[in-house]
Formats: sequence, C-alpha cells, structure tokens
Amino acid sequence: MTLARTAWNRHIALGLVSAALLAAQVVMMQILATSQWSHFAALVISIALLGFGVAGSLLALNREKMLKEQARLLPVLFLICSITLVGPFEFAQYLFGGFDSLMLFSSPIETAKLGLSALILMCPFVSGALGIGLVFTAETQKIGSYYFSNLIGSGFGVVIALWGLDQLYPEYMLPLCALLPLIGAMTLLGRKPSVLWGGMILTVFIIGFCLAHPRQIQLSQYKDLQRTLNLPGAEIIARQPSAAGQIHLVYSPALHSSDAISLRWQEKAINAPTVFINGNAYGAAMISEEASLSLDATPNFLPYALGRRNKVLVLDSGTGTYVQHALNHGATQVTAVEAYPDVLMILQKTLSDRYNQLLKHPNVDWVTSSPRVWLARDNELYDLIILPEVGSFGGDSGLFALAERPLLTTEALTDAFGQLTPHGCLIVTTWLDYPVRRPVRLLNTIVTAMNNAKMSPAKPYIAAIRSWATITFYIKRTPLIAEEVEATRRFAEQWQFDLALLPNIQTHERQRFHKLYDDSILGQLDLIVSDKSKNLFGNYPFRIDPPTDNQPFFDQFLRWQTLPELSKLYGWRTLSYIEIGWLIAALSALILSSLAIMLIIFPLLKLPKSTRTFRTCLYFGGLAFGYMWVEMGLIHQLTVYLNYPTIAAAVVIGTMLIGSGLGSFFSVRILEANSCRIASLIFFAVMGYAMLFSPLLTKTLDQSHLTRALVTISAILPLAFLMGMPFPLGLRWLDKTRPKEVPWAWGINNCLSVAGAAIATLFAVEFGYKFLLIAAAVAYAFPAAIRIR
Amino acid sequence: MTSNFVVLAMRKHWCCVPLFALSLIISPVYHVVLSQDDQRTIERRAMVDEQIIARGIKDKATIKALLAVPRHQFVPSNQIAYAYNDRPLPIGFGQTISQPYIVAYMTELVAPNPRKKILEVGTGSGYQAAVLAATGAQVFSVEVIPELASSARQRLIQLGYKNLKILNADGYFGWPEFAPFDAIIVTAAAASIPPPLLEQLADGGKMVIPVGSPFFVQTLMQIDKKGDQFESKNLMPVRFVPFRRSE
Repeated sequence: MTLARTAWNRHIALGLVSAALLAAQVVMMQILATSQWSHFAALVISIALLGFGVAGSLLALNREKMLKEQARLLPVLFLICSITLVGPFEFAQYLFGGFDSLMLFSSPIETAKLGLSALILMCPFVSGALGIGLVFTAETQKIGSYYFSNLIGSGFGVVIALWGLDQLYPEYMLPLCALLPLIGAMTLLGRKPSVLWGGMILTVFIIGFCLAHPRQIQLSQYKDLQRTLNLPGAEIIARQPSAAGQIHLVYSPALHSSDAISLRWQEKAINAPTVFINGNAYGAAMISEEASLSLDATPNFLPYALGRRNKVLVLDSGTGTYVQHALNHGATQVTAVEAYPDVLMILQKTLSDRYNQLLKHPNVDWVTSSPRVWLARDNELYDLIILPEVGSFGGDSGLFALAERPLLTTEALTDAFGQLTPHGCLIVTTWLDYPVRRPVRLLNTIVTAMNNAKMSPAKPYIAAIRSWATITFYIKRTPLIAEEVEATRRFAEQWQFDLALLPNIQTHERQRFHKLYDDSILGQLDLIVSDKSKNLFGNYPFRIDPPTDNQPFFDQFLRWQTLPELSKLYGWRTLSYIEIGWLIAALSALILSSLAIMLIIFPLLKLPKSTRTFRTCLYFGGLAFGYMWVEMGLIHQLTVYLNYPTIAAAVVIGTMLIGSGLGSFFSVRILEANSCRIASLIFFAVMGYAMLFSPLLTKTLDQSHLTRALVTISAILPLAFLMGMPFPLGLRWLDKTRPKEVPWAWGINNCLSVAGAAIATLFAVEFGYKFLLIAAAVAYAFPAAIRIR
Repeated sequence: MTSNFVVLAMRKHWCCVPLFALSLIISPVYHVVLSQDDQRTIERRAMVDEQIIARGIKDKATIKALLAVPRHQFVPSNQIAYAYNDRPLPIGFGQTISQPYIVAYMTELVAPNPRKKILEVGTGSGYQAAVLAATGAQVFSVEVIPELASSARQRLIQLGYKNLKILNADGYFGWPEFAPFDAIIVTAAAASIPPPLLEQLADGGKMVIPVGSPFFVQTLMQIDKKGDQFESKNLMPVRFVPFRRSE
C-alpha cells in the first residue's frame, strides 16, 4: 500500500470511529433518559470524556511500544471499539434497568452499580479514543488534518444519530453505530487473510444478531411507563421513534385519568390510553364527552365558570384534552401549541375515531413550536391562556430538577400577560407538595411577571382555589370585578374547593373543605401577593425565587447553602428522597471526577516529575474547562431557542466540532507562538457571547425554525473556529520543545474535560448560563496568559 | 477437658452416641434459627420503641400489632437485614413496603378494633394488612398486580391470619361485596380519589391516603364522610417537624 493511500485510509478510519463515538453518545443519552431519568443521560458526555482520558493515559505510558506496533494495533483497537459498542452496553443496560436511582443515597450497592455502569459504558470510548490518540501521536506534525477528520467525523456522527433516532428505535442504533468502527478497521487491514479478518466476520455476525433480535430497553421499575405496564391488561398500543424522545401509547383497563377531581364527582372513571415520552407520563388521551365533563369538576373549569372564552391559547397542548374542553365550552378559536407533533400523529393514527374530528376541527389551529418561542412570536390577544400543570401528584422527588421549564420564567409569563385581552385570563394549576415549594415559587414567578406587565399590586388580579391536592391560580389582565369574585365563590362552593386567594377573602373560606395541618402556605401566598416576598426569599430553606430565561430551572429547589440545615431537619436519606435531582448531579460529578483522577492522572504520576509541569497543566486545563463550559453553556441556552434539548445538543456539538475542526485544520498555518494571542481573542469573544448571545436569541426568538438554525450556526461557528486552534498549537509547541510533556498535556486536558462537563450543569443550574460563559472566558485567560517561546 | 469427658461418657453409654451425634448436628442449626428469631424480635422491639412510641404513637392496639407482626417476613430476601430500619424498602414492581412509622401512623388514624371493617387498596407486601388484622379488625385488601396479590396471600396464610381477605382486582372499584367499610386505607394512591371508594365508605368513616413518591411519604390525606359531604384533612407525619421558614 502506498504511503498516500495509507494516510487516506487512516483519515477515513479516524472519521468513521469519531462518527461512531459521537453517534453512540447521543443514542446512549436517549436510552438512559428512557430507562432512567435525564440526569443519567447527561452522564454519558462525562463517561465518554473519561474514556478519552483513560486512553490518553494508556497511550502516554506505552507510547513507544504502541507507536512501534501502530499498524497492527489500529485495526485491533477499532475492532474492539465495534464489539464493545454492542456487548458491554447490553450488560450495562441490565445493571441500569435493575438500578434503583431513588436509593442511590441509602444503598451503597446502588452507588457501586452506578460507578460500575460508568466503567462498562466507557469501554468503546477507551478503545476508540486510543486508536484516535495513536494516530494523533504518530502524526503530530500533521495533527491539523487528522484533527480535522476527527472533528468532521464527529459532526457527521451527530447527524447520523439524530436521523437514526427519528427513524429507528434506539435499540437498533447501537449495533448500527458499531458498524462504523468495523468498516474503519477494515480499511486499515491488508487483504491478506489474518486472525483479525476472522474477528471482523464474527463481529459482523454479532451485530447482525443484535439487529435481528434487538433487546428492549430495560426500564427502571419506578419509571411511569414501567409502572403502567405492570397493570393488568396493559399493552403498548403504539410506539414511535423520535429524536426528541421516543413515544409510547399504553392502554390498560386499570388506567383511570381524572386528576385531582372534586370529591363531589360521582360519575364513573375516565379510562383512556396514556402517552409516555422517554418513559415519563405525558398525558392521557381524554377527549371524550365524559372526559370533558369530568374536567368541569376540577379547578380548571373556573375561567369558563366566570364567563365565555372565545379565543383560547393552550400551551403544551399535549394530547388535546384542554383543546377539546375549550371547544366544548364554546371557544370559537383555539390555538394549540405543542413542541412534540409526533404525539398527535401517533394519536391520530391509533385513535382515529376520536382524534380525526378534533385534529380537523375548523376552530382549532394546531401549531408545532416550543410554547416559549410561540409566546415570543405571536401577536394575537386571547381571552384565556392555559398553561400546563406544574409538578405531579405526590411530587417527583426532584427527578426533574435539572430539566429546563421555559414556560415557567418571569420573561415567559410577562409575554403571556401581554397577550391577554382586557378581560382575558391566564390559568395554571400546581400540585401541592410538602415541604411547600412549588405553589410558592409559582406564585412568586407570576407576581414578578405581573409587576413587569404593570399589573400591580397583584392582589386584585388574582384568584386561587385549592382542591384536596392542587392549587389553581387564575390571573386576570384587569382587576377582578365584584361579579367575578362572587362567581368564584359559588364555583368553589359547588365543587367543595377552598379559596386560597381572592380579593376580600375571609379567613374561614380558606379551610372549609380541605384542612391543612401546616397552614403556613396561606401566609406565604399572602406575603407574595402583598409584594413582601423579598423577606421570604432569603429565609426560605428552598429556592423559591422566580426562575428567569437565564436560569429556567423551576424544579430545582435545593439551596446548597441550606443543605446542613435541611439535612439536620430531615436527615440526609430523607432529603435525598425530597430533592434527589441536584444531589444525583453532584454525586455523579464527584464520582466521575474521582474516576478521572484515578484513571487518568494517577497513572501519569509514573512519568518523571520534570515532564509534569504546572505551566502545561494551566494551559491545557484552561482549554479543557473553557471548551466544555462554552459547549455546555450554549447547549443549555439553545434548548429553548431550538425547541428540543436533543436538537440543541446535536446542533451545538455538531457546529462546535465542525468549526473547531476547521480551526484546527487552519492552525497548521499559524506559528505556535501565536497560541496565547488566539486564547486572548477567545477570552474576549466568550466574554462578548456571555453579554450579547442571550439578547441576540431573545431578539430573534420570533423568527422561523430555519432562520433560528442559521442564526445559531453562524453565531457559534466563528467562535468554534477560534476554539479549535489553541489545542493543536499547544501540542505542536510541546512536541517541538518538550515532547515528553505531551502525555501530561493530554491527561490534564482529558481529566479536566470530564470534570468540566460534570460541573457545567451544576453551574448552569446554580448560577445561570451567563455565569457559565463568563467562567469559560476566565478559564481561557490561563492559556492566554502563558507565553510560548 | 470437655472432649475427654465426652469420650468417657461414650464408652460407658454407647447407646448415647447416635443421640449425641444428632444433637451435634441439630444444635448449631437450632441455635442459629433461634438466635435469628431472637435477633429479629429484638430489632422489632427497638423499632417500636425508637421509631413508633418515641414519635408519639400511643394507640395500644397499634403498638401491640407492630410488635406482633414479623416485618422481616414481608420484605424480599435481599432486604431482610434492613427490614426494621427507619425507611421504606423496595418490593418490586415499582412498589415499596412503607416505612414502619407510616404504617403505625395510618393504623392509629383508623383506630382498628375487632368491630371494624377495613378496606385496604394496594396490598403490596401485605404488611399493612397484617398489622390491621393483628388488631382483630376485619380486613379486606385489594391488589391490582397479580404477582404481588398472590405472594401476599400466600405469606399471610402461612402466618395464620384468618380475619383477612385478599382480592386481585383493580382497587379503583373497591370491594363492593363487603361495603360499607368503617375505614379505607389507600396505600397505592393515584392522582384521583375514586368515587366508588368514597361511596363504599360508611357514614362517619374515614379514608387515609399517604401522598408522596415511592420512597418518601410527604403527607397523609384523611377524608371524612359525613352524610353526603366529604372533608379532607392534610395531616403531616409527626416524624417531619412542622416546616416553617426561619424568622
């Protein structure tokens, strides 16, 4: 084989393996989000980075031997990558499926299972990255072009994953990903028969078997979908793959969907199929006449009890329940906004008798958009805006603490109030929780938005009614008039609901039918509507401040400052059952950072001390933190802008990789000594993004999908281009001046990338996206400050 | 010394040899079994003292029942060591056996006695039903998951409970055949309170519903029936001190 052909084959193999590793990450994210919760999905990025780091350390310690054997080693490593993408994942899935995440803090076995799963899932990344690293090490002077292949391949991998997840179920995707490194290995192998060819044929058979007999994703026993499937007669009546989250439609005769209905309701149960997205309950298909009647016995009927609503906006319309309810009460124009159009498609296909009529109803305008984006784009005025329910019955133990709630921010609600007619109203219901968090934070957000919309003081505008398990807030654009106040009283009396807030409310009206053991919640609601909530914020052990577009984590209630006080009050174990989400993220960051130190840094300590300089550590560490924080910051920030988390992750990762790949390719023309100047440029650019990116997104939120995608790509690409340069420049500089330090540089960069990715989410949740970008800029100040001579 | 004595005894009374050998085989087994039972009894006593009485449960029948029911026999074998710990435990199918205190609190709330008919919705492991039955009350328990219903039934028969019936059915519809009930405990709570259960509650009866995620009961909901009126009360498990903001 000629040298040129060998180089060409290496580029192809490198690109294919990189594509497989990135695609596998996206697929694993969806599988873990389905079998467990989204926290574990986010872990995949750190696990992959950990694999890359371990590979770097292995390479550093065996550099000479591996370089000598590179021609034989590369196909072997890519073959191992292919096999481990299929085999160990099956085992890890078994572990994850039987893994009780809710017991993570009370059972050391579950914590061990989490660590073990991380190690198993790491295998394909170690072998793949070892191959990639080996090529980089062997071709340091041509690293620009190889880095380019690596990043272009990775970008391509994201596209494959997104397309694949939209067309196929995730259990088919990993075997398909495994084909890519297998083809890569084949391109590197000569045509002569060898043992490796035998291995490859065997791998083809294994992949074929996995595709022919895919194993269903094993769900945690606590997932909504699994619990429903345990019911007698339960069956999945339809299933659809989707990059935004796979959809299941399940029916069981034992499903009863009449949430928080009045205790006076005496009719029979509503038995309707239920939709699940990534294993989480999304809503029941309650659009029958009976279902609509049952909704009349819930606090959500209040707007109709107070008057006719012609134009209705239903945000997160889901299965169409509230759309049908509005039509049944005489609405002449209903706008239903839903980010997941696949839900309605699956319902129409499966329950056509019920849904055909609704979906073709002349009075309904079905809009596919993120509700937050729609609020920014739409200029219509409505008589009623219905927000989706907040929380769930009995609480969710904080499992959704790290999920963005773009509709529950002060900016979103301010936009919503701006779209109400003078007599229009907004309605939102929240489940009661204990210790009280959701209702208090929700009202805080509402009142802050009302102040922004010049609807203050808030008291005359708000009515709130409490059922046995929920509170519903009804906010009118103009103060409630006496007739409306009386009609609210009558409605509450009719269905035995208690009044929580109402102009001229009497004390005895607040606990007539549903008595509270701890009625402090009522005092807290009074404080908030009296604009005295500032006193409440500081003293409250949980976060109840209004979320903003910069920090849209409505369900994250834990304050790390009050953790000692809370743990004293409830005990650590109980606290973890109340708010496990943030704690899982923190524990995962700790476990992964520890693994990174153990597996990446410790082995490198064997290298001579002279090859482990602090200067290199600062340079490559700064790059690691900076890159990861920019990437994670942009993913979080673009989740709302681009409608779906998966799409945002794919667009950001893809654009960053392609931009950085081009930057890396271009870096061969730049002198190594300029790396600190480029890092300085990145420092200022990231600072600029921290200040200007969010306003840019807000300004263009009302544009079409395509325009927003173009804005995103053109905004990220130049920054990514710059960010692709300092790493290869630094490696080239080291290779020329102190080649023995290259492994140390790799190790530090990988280790801190793992820690950086894990910490990024905690930073975003705790301090907001802007802070994350500023922190990234500060991280780039370190490589900027180091002069290369 | 002991072995010399044994050898002498064996020479004199050769017929004792088989008996002695048998005792050697049986005694360690017997000893282990006895000590495990003793151990569980001690743990149960400690559970009642530290988790139940110390937190304010006063009802004598409830305390007696909790002392009598071997909780460790209601948990999966891999959880036996934690059976008397102050926490709920997984029993499979996404269900848990409630924390001992919650069981005691709910039992005290419905004040069971031999004259009362009590319906439990969500048998699970059968522990709550066993505690209620140990007070002498007539207990009717409905479980929707066939595997759980079957294992609970088998377990409760083995333990000899006679005043207790288990039905594998959808708890939403209660058990109309034996209605009305003086009390209903809905341990497998859903987001709606089934009208058939409210209907099957006797006048003056009460329904108790623990509200929370599988591992953390946040509050207990009590619903009282007075004629055709219902009144709900939000009760807080005493374990969790009233939660108020610091001033």
